[in-house]
Amino acid sequence: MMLAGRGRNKIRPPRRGLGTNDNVDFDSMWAELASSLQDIHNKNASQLSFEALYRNAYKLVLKKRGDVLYERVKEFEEEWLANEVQPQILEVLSPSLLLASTGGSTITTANEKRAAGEKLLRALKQAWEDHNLCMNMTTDVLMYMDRVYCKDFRKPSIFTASMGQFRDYVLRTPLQPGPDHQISIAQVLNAVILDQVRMDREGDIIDKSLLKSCVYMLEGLYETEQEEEHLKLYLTSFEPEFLRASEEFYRHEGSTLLLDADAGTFCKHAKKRVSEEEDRCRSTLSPLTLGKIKLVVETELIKNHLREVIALEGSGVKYMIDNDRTSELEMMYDLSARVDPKKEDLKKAIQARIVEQGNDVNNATVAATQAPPRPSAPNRDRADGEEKAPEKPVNLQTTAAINWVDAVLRLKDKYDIFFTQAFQSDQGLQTAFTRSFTDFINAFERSSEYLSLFFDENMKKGIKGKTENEVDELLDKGIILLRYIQDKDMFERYYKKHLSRRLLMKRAISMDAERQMISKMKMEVGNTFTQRIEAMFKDMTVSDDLTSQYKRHVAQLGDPDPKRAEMEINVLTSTMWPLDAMAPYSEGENRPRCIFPSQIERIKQGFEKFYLDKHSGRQLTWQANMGTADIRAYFPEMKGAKKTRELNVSTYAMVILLLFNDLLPGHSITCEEIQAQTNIPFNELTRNLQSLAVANKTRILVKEPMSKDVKLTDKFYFNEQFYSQFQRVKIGVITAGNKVEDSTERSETEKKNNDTRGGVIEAAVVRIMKQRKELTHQKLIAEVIQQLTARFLPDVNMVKKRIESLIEREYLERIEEKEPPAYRYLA
Amino acid sequence: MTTEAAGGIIELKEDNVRAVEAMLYFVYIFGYDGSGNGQECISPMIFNAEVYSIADKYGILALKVRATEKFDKAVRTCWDMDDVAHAITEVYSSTPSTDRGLRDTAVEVAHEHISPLLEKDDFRGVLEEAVGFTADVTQVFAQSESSSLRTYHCPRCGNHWEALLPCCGYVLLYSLSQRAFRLG
Repeated sequence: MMLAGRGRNKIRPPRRGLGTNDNVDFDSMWAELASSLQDIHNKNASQLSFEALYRNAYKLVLKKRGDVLYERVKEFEEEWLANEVQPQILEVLSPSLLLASTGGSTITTANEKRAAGEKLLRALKQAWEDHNLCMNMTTDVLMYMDRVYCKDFRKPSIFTASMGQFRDYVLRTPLQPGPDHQISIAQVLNAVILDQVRMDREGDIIDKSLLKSCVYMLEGLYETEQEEEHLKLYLTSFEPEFLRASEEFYRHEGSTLLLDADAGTFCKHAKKRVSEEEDRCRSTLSPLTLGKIKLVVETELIKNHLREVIALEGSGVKYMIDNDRTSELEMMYDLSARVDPKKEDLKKAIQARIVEQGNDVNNATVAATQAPPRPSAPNRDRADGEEKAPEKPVNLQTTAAINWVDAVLRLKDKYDIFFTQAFQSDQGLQTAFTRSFTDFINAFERSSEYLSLFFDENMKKGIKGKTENEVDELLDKGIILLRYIQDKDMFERYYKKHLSRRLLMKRAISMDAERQMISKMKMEVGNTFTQRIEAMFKDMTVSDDLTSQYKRHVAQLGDPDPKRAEMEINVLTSTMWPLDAMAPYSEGENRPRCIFPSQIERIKQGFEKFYLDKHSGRQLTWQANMGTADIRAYFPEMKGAKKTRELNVSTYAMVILLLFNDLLPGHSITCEEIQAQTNIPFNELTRNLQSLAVANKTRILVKEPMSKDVKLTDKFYFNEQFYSQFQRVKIGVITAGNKVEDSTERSETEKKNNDTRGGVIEAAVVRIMKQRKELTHQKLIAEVIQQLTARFLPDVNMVKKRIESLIEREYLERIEEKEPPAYRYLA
Repeated sequence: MTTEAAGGIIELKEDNVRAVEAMLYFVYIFGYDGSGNGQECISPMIFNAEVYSIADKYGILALKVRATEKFDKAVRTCWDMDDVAHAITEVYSSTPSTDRGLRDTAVEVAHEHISPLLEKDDFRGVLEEAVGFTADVTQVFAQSESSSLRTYHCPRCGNHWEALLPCCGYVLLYSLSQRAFRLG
């Protein structure tokens, strides 16, 4: 380092001169600076000494000439940009570009246009980079001026000022003089960028990094000296045009795509476009536009066409659902979510389809249950040689019922898969689906009955061989269906009836499964209902014990009668069991007591004594309409072999058959006589006689005449010629199984149910009024509905009638003076 | 691009050697010797003003602060010495007028000791020639005048008046009613 030494004097004169030399100093110093600036701008700075320039500027500022210096530098820049830089760019502007940016059309090819555009972009990029380079160096040289003058006098730094000059003298200078068509390079630039973007969107290759460089330039320039972020040239001058052009582009593309009329393609394309635009913002334009362009695509392309796409015939949502196009549905969902957080259009379309498909299932079932009976399928042999009565048409109904439940569950499964795989377990959609399922399920009149039959079928056969988990799954599915059903009390009614038959006929495969079902039901509908069922289970176990105890008791009594029939007893607590439901065609009045043959009567009384000794004060009523008997029938020898057959018949049938024991060969009994001797109700008598004498393979008796229906005058003979290849013959009666009710039975059930509901409603009203003491009519109705809706939807008129009745019975009174009308509780 | 970049040498053509030395020291050890006792004896006032100036030129703010401190101390101690006039000259010629760092101190000291200073020829010379210095000093005096006038109050007749009085001890003053009263 070379030191400029200075000697020390005692008194040193002031070093700096004042006043007169200033002007001369300034001009020559400025001249030097100006020429250096020129060199810098010409990229010819190698001969310059940075220190000299810096010192130069420093001295000028110190001498309070900072303002002039600043102005002179600005003037220099302005001249440079306007006279050197801008013309260079102008040279590169082809006429076609100019024309295009004014909206005129050209005859150039796409390639030519792109090439011309790239020329401009390259020139601008170069000019911008050069400008930055020069100004960086200029700023360094003039740093003292910036630091002292600009700061103290609140001027923008020379760098900032020069950027504004670039904006004004390069980009925004009108290319042609005159007030009209104020085209500037900035506008041509916009047009070029937009054109290139369009080409990119159409799949042509463009130079993305070149575009990006020009975008950087626009991001580095501002509208004002303060350089506020939101006033970047990119945002004020380019972006709005870009968004406008994009809107138009996507509006058009949306319509075009719709014409192709394929929803899947549309979705794929739309999704692709969105991600494409996102990429474009990163690689070609600016991330500042990310949110806005997404909005444009989502609005113009997706939102404005979504409804139509969803509804497209042959490819829209309906098609996707029907053909299990899960991935397409997923895209549909994705698209919908972008433009509507509630996905209303999609939701509605799906709901409509659910209800449609549900109604189809309902209608198909109704049609099936009304179809004429098909000829019975050939009986398959069972391992133990049993033979059942031939298929009755009612089984078709029951099959249809179970098929209904299966179909609904299949539908549910289908939509569950969509829910998890395509709809991201969206809660809003879940609610909508549930509503739709609820709608069509409750539109189906027999839903509660059919569901119970479904469980019945499974408990009897369906769960055979399934693992515990599989059983659990199956029950859960059924329970979900129960959740949809509004008339839960109807379901309970049927379930109890079907269950009691299962228990009594010993058709329930697994008591574990039965109990599992009850606990699941408890969770769904509460435990008032399930308590009764549990009582039924208890009766069954108690009865088992009773039967074995009785057997021991009899053995101890030492009655050695070998012909004494063995008895299996089920003692049912009458209030817990749906006895009236299990009796078909109950006449309403007290059932006449059946007259049993003497040996049966003896056993009957023996047990009664045994039981009532244990539980005095109780009353036993024998249900002859239920139960079965195993009889050994001895037929006359045929072909030298003794012919006996084991018959399993209903109790009534046993009573009837035993009558024939006292009959002389060749003699007959009339129906009327049978009735007199047995006291069996007529309609049940006829059916049992039909099963014994009319049904094809089980003609133990011969009927005269051979007609199907039974009249009192018909005669019955013992059929000595009876033959069956099976050793054990089961003669079923129609009432034995659980089946779909016919319309008469159904209306009876509904009536009984409504009666019960009446009671439940009254209990609720009393409960509510007791608590509230006084309540308006409207509020009372509302509360009643709210309290009971978990079990059934109370009919408002029924509630009103019940209230009237309670008023009559002085549980409540109307409060006369009150408006709106209200009631008071009477204690 | 420039010759310095090409050759790797920066030549400071017009800078004070001692000041540059101090600057370099400061840049490395965050301190420099401002006493003026170096190779050549020099008034610490002048020296620190030179250091300040070079710190300003090259934009080393921390050095400006340090130089200000040292200048301050030096001036308050050595104001009575011969060099004071030159120090003031240095200050007023080597910094921009908006840079108050040293100027304020100089003016304050001048104000404080104006009477003895006025007896020095150099000082009077500086008053005539150093641009801005006289203006600053005058302003300070004007302000202090008005701010050191105090208001006094006669308890007897309630009159107020302002006066510039020596500020030590109590003074008895009589109002027209010839009553004694206090100093405010």
